[in-house]
Amino acid sequence: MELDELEQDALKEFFNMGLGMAADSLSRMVKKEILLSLPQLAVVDHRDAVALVDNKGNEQLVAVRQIFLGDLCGTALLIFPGGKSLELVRTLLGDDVPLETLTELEQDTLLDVGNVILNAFLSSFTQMMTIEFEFEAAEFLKADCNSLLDISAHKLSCPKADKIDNSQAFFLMMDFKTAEDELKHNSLRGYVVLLFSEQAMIKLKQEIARIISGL
Amino acid sequence: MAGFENKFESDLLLSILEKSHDGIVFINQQMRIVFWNRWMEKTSRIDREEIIGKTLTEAFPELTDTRVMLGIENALSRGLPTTLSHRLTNRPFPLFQPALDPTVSERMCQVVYISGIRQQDGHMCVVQIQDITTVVSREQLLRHQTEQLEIAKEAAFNANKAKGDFLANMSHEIRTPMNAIIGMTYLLFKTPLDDKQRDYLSKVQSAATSLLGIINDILDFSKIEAGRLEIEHIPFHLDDVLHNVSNLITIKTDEKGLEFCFSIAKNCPLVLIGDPLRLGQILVNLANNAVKFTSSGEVIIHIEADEVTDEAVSIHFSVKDTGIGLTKEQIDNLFQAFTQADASTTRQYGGTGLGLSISKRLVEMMAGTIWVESTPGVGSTFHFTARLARQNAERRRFRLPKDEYVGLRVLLADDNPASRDILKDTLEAFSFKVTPVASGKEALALLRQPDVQFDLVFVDWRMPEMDGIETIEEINRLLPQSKIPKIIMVTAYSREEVLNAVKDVPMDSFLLKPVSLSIMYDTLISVLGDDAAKTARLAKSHDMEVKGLGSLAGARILLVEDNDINRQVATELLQAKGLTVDTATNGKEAVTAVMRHTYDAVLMDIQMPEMDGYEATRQIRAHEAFKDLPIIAMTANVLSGDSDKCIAAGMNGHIGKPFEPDDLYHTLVRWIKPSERLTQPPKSRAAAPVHAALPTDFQKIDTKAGLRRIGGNAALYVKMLAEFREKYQDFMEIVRKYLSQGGESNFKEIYRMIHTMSGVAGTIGASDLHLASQRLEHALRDGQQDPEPLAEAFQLKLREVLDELKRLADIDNSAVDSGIAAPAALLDKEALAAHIEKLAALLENGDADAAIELASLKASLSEHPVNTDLAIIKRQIDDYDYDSARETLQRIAGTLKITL
Repeated sequence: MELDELEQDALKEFFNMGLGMAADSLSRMVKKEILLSLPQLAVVDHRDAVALVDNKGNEQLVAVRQIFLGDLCGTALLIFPGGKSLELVRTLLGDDVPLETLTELEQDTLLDVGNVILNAFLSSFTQMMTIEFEFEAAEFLKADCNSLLDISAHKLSCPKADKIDNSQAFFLMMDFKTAEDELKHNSLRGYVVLLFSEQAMIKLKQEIARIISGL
Repeated sequence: MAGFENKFESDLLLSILEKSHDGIVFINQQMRIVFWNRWMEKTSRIDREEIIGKTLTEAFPELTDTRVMLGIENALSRGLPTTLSHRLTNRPFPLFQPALDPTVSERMCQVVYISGIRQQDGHMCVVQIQDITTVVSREQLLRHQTEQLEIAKEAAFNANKAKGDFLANMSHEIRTPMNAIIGMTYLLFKTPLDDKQRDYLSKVQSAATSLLGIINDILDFSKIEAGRLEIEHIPFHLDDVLHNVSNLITIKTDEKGLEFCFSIAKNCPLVLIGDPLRLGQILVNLANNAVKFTSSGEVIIHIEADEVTDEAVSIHFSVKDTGIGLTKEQIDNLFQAFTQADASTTRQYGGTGLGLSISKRLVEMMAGTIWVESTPGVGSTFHFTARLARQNAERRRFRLPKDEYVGLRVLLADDNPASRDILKDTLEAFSFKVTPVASGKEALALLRQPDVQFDLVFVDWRMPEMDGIETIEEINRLLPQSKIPKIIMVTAYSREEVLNAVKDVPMDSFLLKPVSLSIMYDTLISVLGDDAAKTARLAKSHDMEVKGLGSLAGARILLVEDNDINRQVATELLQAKGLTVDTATNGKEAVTAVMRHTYDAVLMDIQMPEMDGYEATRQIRAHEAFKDLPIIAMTANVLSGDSDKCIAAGMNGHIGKPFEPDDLYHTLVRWIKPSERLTQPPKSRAAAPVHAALPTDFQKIDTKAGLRRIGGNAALYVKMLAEFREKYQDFMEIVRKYLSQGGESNFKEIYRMIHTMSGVAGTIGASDLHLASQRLEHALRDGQQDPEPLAEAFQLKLREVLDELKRLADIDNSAVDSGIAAPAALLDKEALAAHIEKLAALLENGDADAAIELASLKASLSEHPVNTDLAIIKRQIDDYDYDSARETLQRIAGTLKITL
């Protein structure tokens, strides 16, 4: 199932608003200007999503997950691409932690940051909808790309979930930068993925259509 | 609490929340606290009665406008969850662990989870607080420990590096005295020695050489550790590498009676670019090991190309032995530094245990791998590959000169199958038709058949039943003279042994295993070519002298070296080959000397006081006139990059200390072109004909040695002999007189006289007399022994020498004088200055050769008024008073207007 250009533009608009909020919150948290931008948005199936995250081999990825339930259920993932996740933490925190392993506290920190970003997305995403959502708390995950992007692996307790559902994803690529990175043209890519079931996707399309017509 | 339909259920759930190990707070739509569990009471020290109904900011004003409040708003308005981490929101609530006093203690570390719960009339907010104080302190401890480990690691790394540097420095420092030991041993071998001394000396030599090998290993290893080992990329011929390997290994395989063969596949390019020395080092190391662990059988080096392109080749080398072999466990540890197969073999076979780990590293630097296959009791095969570039214009260097040689029929008799196959392959590489057989008998049977004809026959020497010599003799007996093919004996045993055994065997040449292509080629050319080439080859093998060395005689070398002993070693090595040597002890002197005299080459030490070799070279090169003067660095500094530094400073070449005499000569031959020789070869040097007046059949005087020792100047030698005869004619009577008188002063006097005479006897080559006089001299010096028997022996030896010298009676004294005095008139000031400077240098060093130099100078200046002063110097030299002699010389130089 595809979204047409108009639908995509509308979504992008919402997400960009959310992104502005997230950057604001992050900047305040780390007392440093953080810039977030959204260079890419696509609706893809599982296989394409895996190809887009482009991690080499079966390397473990680090992600923050927020599951949302209700009439429209799915999961939001912030995926830090392999090896770069702590670079991001360092960029955000200006901290110099040993990089070999992620300690419990470091996981918490990443969770905190991921939560802020995902909240921004989810609030701008849900704000316009008539649907009521319920959100589960943010979680820290380590998994390979394949299972991370597989909706059935997330054990969503959706009411009418179809078992042989073909999962679909919004795929959002995002750049993280600090003001210094901007000067040095450094940026760190991250991915926000919203995973929906086929069924949820239909519901979503209806909602978007409603919003567009209401504009 | 609204919402629970069943009182029992709601009571149960509430008590669970009460007892939770986390803090739990409910906040309603109006932001008011409606639930405050027991954990919150204990950690905040605020009872629920006090707080229920208040807003959070009323209870804790410090929370206003914090992420806590933002999270609660998000939860109440949209149901969005918030996680507040310790790092980003540090201890937001004023909570303390139960036992701690809040006025003095730190707040507990917290993680705060805020979430919204959807209800009919909007959202309710739950705040959960976790105590993570333990986690935080555990992580702080972990971080601290990690830092400590990092520091310790750094310290260990530095210590290890310091150790590596120390090793490198020490092995460098050790090389300098090693140079003296090896050089002096070499020189000592050239003096008259009795059997015992020769035996001791050869043991010193072999110990010194093996010590040097160990030091080299350690140095290489420390360079590898320090990442300072570099691989060269220079054009070379693989056959030359094998030739060097053969030179080093054959001595050992000879001793143990092992076969040693090279087998080179036809597909393997030989003209390559890479590091021939390092490649040779790996092969020598593996072959040495193979020999060490093999008591009978063979060692075979096999070489083939794995992959050949126009630009590069991957060559597979293997060294196979029939030795004790290795177990699986031994193989696993083999390539690690400092390990050997096991402790017991270490004791039996020795070694540093560094060789293989060095080889492994070297192989890796040549983009190859090294591995081993082995069966205990059967043998081992060490394999390695190396990737080498190929030179552009590859030509087969060993092309037969004439087409008529193509397809010659060759009969090959060798009992060892491996060696036979290899020889067959080698011969086939030359396009010959080879018939291999396993014994002399089979060879003879074939030769006897009327319809079979061979052009060449290769016969192994050591064969069971009928050995090579018998086979060759049989061939000669059986076949008519005209039908006898060219016969070549193949042997794994050393040249001397073969030469003695085959002196009268009718054959055309012999071939020493392992047979490299170049050796085979040389042999074939000598056998198939004309007679001149044949004799040249046979003659050559008698004399292993460095090629072209003869042309060096008469060359003038400036030796720049600050170490006295090393200077002496190098000087004598050079003088022994008829070179004229001037010395300088630092760069400054070297520059001055080069400006003043014309040299054929400069041998330059690098580290010297005042001015080092680099700087001296730069200063010399700054003059247009010396831009082509060969300057060769001599240094114990073998760290990588040093040879580059030498080249950068303008030097032509580099020779490492300690040097083998042959290396030194090779280097000089390479850099001194005969045509560049500016001075004529002086009147008489090594090449000069033996003086007419000198009998060649002296028994008690080794005239050859004597002549060599004074640089081949026969006229001077004859004169010295005559003087010796005159001076010591009545010596014994004088000695006897003093001896009979006794008394300390008399003893001292005899001691001095005998000491002097001992030196002269050694110089002229009267070695027996030299020995006898030394013994007497020592007895007199120590005073512990009755000198009488020694004096008797001494008298006898002196008598013999003097008797022999009687036959010099006829020499025309004037001829001798003119022989030396003739050039005197021609002596220009420069030459005279050179003489005097040389004498000064010799005196400075306390060198006994000063006497010879003085004699020559005296002869040159026989008509000159200063001659009487020279006589004074002679007396002073005789008294070993070199300092005074030098002062006198200084004065003479002043008279002659020569500045020293």
